Amino acid sequence: MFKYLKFMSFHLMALIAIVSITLGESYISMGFAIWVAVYLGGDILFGDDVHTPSYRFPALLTWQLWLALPLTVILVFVCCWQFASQDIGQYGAWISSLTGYDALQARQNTSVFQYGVMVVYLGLVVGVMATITGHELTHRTWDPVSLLIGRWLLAFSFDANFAIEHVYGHHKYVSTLNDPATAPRGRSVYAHIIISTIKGNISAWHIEQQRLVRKQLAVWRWHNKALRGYAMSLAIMMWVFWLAGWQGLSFFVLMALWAKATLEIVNYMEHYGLVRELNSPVKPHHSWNTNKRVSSWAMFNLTRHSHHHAQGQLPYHQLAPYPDAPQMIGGYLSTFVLTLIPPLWHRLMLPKLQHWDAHFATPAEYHMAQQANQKSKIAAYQACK
Amino acid sequence: MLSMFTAKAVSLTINDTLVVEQASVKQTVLASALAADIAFPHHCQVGSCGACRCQLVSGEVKQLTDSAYVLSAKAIAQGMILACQSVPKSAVNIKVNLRQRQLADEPQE
Ligand code: FES
Repeated sequence: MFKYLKFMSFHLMALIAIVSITLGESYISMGFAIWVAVYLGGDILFGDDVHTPSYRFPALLTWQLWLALPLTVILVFVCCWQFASQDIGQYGAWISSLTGYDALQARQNTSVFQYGVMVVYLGLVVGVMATITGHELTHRTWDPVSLLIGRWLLAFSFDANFAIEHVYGHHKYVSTLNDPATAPRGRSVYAHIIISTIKGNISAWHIEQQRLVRKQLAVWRWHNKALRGYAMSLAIMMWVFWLAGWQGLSFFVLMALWAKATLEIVNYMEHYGLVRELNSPVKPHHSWNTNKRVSSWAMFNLTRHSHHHAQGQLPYHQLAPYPDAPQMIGGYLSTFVLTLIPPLWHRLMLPKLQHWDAHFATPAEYHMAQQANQKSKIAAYQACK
Repeated sequence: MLSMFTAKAVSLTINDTLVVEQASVKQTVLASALAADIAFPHHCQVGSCGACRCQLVSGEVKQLTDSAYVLSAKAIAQGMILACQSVPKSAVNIKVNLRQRQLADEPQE
């Protein structure tokens, strides 16, 4: 039973987010603090999970993923309600009559600072709950329902087209210079967010265009999945505007950009500085892996990234831990925080990269790694021999 | 009638040699071939690189992803499929060059 439940932690965390944002005032910051404490502290305290149980009812695991969509919709609704001038859908009145807590009064008292926290908070929640489930679901290209739900989830961070670029671009080019999502040695996370976002969107467009040309379909029509991807985000923005006007929309845009940035930061952590020859098979050592328990449960084994890239078609519950693969510095959230301080990040990754060059790289990769060090513009990397 | 409820198995022939007598209809052609210790070329296994492309000589497969992302219109017309994205629906016969090839970025048009 527990083997099913362990992947339901995000549902509980989503409820915490819904409740804390509904309560308003400083409860918003408290909810955020709980999130950070669980994901940061949990990985430090609870160590690794290297089990790969077998499942008799994998469909249950798929339903758990699908649930992310209604939860995301509810969350964005509650945030819009916080920003709206009216009591949309009588939500505040309903909460008050249900619990006796004067949600409308609390909403009045919610400070600008709390609104700021809400942007960061919800961006993180969407990054975990919508983007990561969206990633898992859009890999299931054979299942139209999963693919559709996955793309809608990604549309909450303007990124439905990640479904195209990630599968048909990133998985093909991972750890080579052709991959927008692989950060070369010496690039800072902030540069990566911008570069990877722009190049990823361009790549998705090209991949889709090529597919349409091959099928002799017109590019500027509704069967263009890239266009449809942008239309999905536009539809969500219209819904948000209808609910909560300009204020709600500004909140949503900031939040969605931040959620997209969290995805790029995760890309950055997963392949930073790794190299591979074009056209050589993707191996477990072309990703940074981690088996931290809390991260793995919350993120559906996305952490088991080495196996994910070596066998991209496997559903998450079949991914193996690969404890011998190159390991990330910490769990996902702790490593995430480290990337935000580039000098510290580059310094911490130097011994990891040196170890990678010495133990994992093929002779050709070793040579490429030396070149990458020279190009990194970081003296300590350039001094490596 | 019963066959509707039990997953059936089909034969898999590669380069005119019967390699798997009972290949699962729930597994890709690539997975069945690899399980039978055949060095079937492959890289990405998600239908993005084209390394596993091969020609379907006879039989029917279900494709798990749109092969037009990878294969040219001409190749598709010639019956090329991606082994990592093809699940057999009947007994299949496949032609493939089993020597490992550089493929992902070979010009395809
Ligand atoms: S292995 Fe890459 S397309 Fe099949």
